[in-house]
Amino acid sequence: MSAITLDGLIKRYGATVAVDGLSLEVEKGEFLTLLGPSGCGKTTILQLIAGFLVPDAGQVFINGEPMAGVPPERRNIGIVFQSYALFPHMTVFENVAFGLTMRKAGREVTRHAVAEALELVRLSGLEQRFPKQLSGGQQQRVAIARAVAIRPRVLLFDEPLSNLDAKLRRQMRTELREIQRRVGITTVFVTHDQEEALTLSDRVAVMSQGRLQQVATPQEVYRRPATRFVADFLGETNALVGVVRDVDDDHLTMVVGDALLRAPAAPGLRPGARVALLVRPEHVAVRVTPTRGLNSLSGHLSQAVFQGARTAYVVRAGDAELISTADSRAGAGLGSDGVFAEWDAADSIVFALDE
Amino acid sequence: MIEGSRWPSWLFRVAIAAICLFIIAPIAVVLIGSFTAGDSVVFPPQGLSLRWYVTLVRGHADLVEAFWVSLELALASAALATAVGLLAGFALVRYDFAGRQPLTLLFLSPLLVPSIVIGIAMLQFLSTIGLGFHPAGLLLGHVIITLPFAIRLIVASLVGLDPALELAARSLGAGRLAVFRRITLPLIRAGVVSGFILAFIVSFENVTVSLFLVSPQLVTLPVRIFGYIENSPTPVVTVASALLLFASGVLIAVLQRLVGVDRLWGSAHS
Repeated sequence: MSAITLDGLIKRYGATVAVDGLSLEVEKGEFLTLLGPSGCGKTTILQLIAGFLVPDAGQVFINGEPMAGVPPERRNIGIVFQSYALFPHMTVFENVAFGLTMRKAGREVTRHAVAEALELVRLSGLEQRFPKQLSGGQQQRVAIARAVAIRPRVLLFDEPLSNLDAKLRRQMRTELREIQRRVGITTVFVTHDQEEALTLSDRVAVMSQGRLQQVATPQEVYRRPATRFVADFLGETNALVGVVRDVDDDHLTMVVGDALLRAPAAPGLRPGARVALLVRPEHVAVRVTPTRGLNSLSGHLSQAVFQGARTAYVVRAGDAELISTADSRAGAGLGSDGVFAEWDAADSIVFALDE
Repeated sequence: MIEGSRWPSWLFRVAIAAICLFIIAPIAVVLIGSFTAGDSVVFPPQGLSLRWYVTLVRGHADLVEAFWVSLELALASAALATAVGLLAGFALVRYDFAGRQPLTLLFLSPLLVPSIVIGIAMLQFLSTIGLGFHPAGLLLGHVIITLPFAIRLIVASLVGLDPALELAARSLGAGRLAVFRRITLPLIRAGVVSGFILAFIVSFENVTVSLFLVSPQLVTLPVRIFGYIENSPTPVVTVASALLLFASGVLIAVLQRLVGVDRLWGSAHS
């Protein structure tokens, strides 16, 4: 039985549909990320699970129990908010103990549970501080401890890392994953940051305009995006527009400008179809001589952008522009004209245009 | 002061001192004048004594009674305005409904409409519904003029409150009532208390609206003072004014002690 089941959820705000018939299962103990641009409905889903919003249609089940009519305070769900939402008039101890106090847990039980939760987030000793006496990272941990202390059936995170600076965010990311593994609570994490989604999750659910685009492991959504949206949203991609010429068993050939390119076949594509070929910059190599068996576009090097460990090379090939990233030590000494941008057909993916 | 300003700093300080002086001096004149030993309202006072205070208590039962009327009226109208302000403030800040803007304007309109107009309007209205010169009418009038102050301060503190705090408390197992009692109210307390104080003071010192609503049996202190000034300005009037000042001052001090001075203005938005 799934920890969370969303069944045909619909939520409208006036004329706009925030969540458009969404169904999703989250397994027990799983870390699932809802990833999408702002306004795609991911936070609305979180609020539907928490019970802050009521769906216009569809149902939320937690551990198989229908949640219709169950108010937020009786759902036993821990939530970490973007603003942390720590109670400013309470100490760290009182904040973490709040959920237990509400459950009328005994004094000893409460003290024990708070100590355990604070130890989990490595904040023992700060019980008597007030939230405003803590750093952003510490406040974040208190928020996590407070949510975990009630031993919730489900943990929800609403963009919890977006208020931290870049370095702290990376650090908290690792820590968050560790904490979740240790407590083993089913987690739904909302973010618009693809890096967060890829590093944290067991599965990523990519959303756009209130609908699911793809639900799969981080590797899979990155390597085999199901839609053009997913491919564009996750990581960088080069897109080349052309027309399909031949289709055989598992490959197709397409014409881009005056070049012939091979790519894995996609269902439903016939000769004559207008398609976009997508290939990641890290799969494109820039060479002075073409290599047999690889897709190769001849052009000239228009820019080399040093990015530290890696360098991005921009190759102009006719109307098309391709970006290739490579280890900064590798590309030195390339002349600016007569280069080939090359990639293995297996590293590319083709989507039909004009759907 | 902004550095590089073309005003020499002594001139700036003189300007500030002058402003403070003009605010404080008239009040100080009345206060000091109330301790005069002479027979007329003059400044500086002719000798110092509590003579007129004794006179007020001994021979002006009307002023003493009016003082208690004003105090009770101010407490009652401030309490009512705060209660209504809390409910209205919640509706205005937390719910998005058709007519929210007009309603906000309506609640604040007593600030925009000249109070003499409110006084006349209230008199006509109350007479029509049979409450002319009735204590309830006076109370109603005062609630209306104090309500904008209560609402404004309560709304300001509610706006500064992160709605996620209440959601977090809900998710942790607190019902609506528990959330209000343990999270919302403690966090907007400074606004509620300030609203109450301001409402109290506005009611306590009001003349214009009261003038139309008092009855011979029920007169507020400011209205009574106003009557004295018109007929026979004796130093007793300055004593009555001083009493108004003392009462407001004491109340503010007491409430600040209760709530804590720093809490009153500080922690609401942290």
